[in-house]
Amino acid sequence: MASMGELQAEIHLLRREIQVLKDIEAIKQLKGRYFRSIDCKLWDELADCFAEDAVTGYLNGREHYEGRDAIMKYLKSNMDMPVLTMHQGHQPEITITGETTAVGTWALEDYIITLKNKGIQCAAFYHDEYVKIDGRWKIKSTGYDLVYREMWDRNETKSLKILDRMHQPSSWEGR
Amino acid sequence: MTDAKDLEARVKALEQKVAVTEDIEAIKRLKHKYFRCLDAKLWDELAQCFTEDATTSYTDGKYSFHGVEAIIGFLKKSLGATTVLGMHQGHQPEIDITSETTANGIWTSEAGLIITDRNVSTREVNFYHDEYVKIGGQWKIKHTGYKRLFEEAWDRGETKSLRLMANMFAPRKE
Repeated sequence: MASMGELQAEIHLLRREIQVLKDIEAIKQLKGRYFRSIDCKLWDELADCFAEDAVTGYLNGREHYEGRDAIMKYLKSNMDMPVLTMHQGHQPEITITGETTAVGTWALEDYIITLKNKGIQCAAFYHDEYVKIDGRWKIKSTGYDLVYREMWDRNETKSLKILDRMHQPSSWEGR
Repeated sequence: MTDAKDLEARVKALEQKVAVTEDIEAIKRLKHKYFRCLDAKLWDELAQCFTEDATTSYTDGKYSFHGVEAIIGFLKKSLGATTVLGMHQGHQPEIDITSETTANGIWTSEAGLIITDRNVSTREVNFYHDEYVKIGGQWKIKHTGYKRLFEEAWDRGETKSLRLMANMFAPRKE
């Protein structure tokens, strides 16, 4: 039979293993909140996903911003207009590298409909770093490399109609 | 003493539950890596996903291969050209851990290809049925294959305005 000391060591190890699983789940939820906040245009919720000193390397590193404020300014200027966006993160590979640090890759598929009814579709791979601050995981660095991006005029498909949307273009009028 | 014995049994049961949860996460991650390597054309990293003696039955068994070399050779031939841009996605994993070192999994996969030199796009939905094995603490694909729900293809030239704006594998400009 195991001694009390051995059992204590096993329980200690179990706690650490469970903590890693919880951290992986929390990081997946963080990234889910990040994508949802972009598409729902919830800027305060999106800002909360980032560490104060976060950095980005969007678009193969070309869109490089330092600090949460600069990142939010960039994201708002690209997404807070009468543009309909769908961002999906798939296939997370999360590695917990310390008690408060982690890295992850994600496959991105996004679809954007512009005001002029252009369709834009992308496939890309995100490479992220995460940090746990006061018990909450935040994005410390994020960026993606495009596999491809394509664009077309949706007006070419004569029958294509948007039947419903969360944000009406008219709500931007006069802004 | 019965208390200590009871505690030991509970710790052991908990260890098993945690191990199963860790294994499920590790297998999901393995499959995620497999899909990423297909689209990023990382053949050495992809080979690490398979056991040496792995087997496949892709496309309802039409593409059956034995051994990691034959499998990678097939995948490289199908998807390796820089004129083939792939987006493979795995969804809705149903993973069963069948022992400490064996597992099965079912995945829904949606995949799209852009074949730039023929200006053709394809889209397919498949159901993967996989077997996994843990070797030296690492989960590997022992068998993989899929049943096809449908595959469709179209001429990209029909959409006159369609343009490829970015391509990871486009030849570098001098």
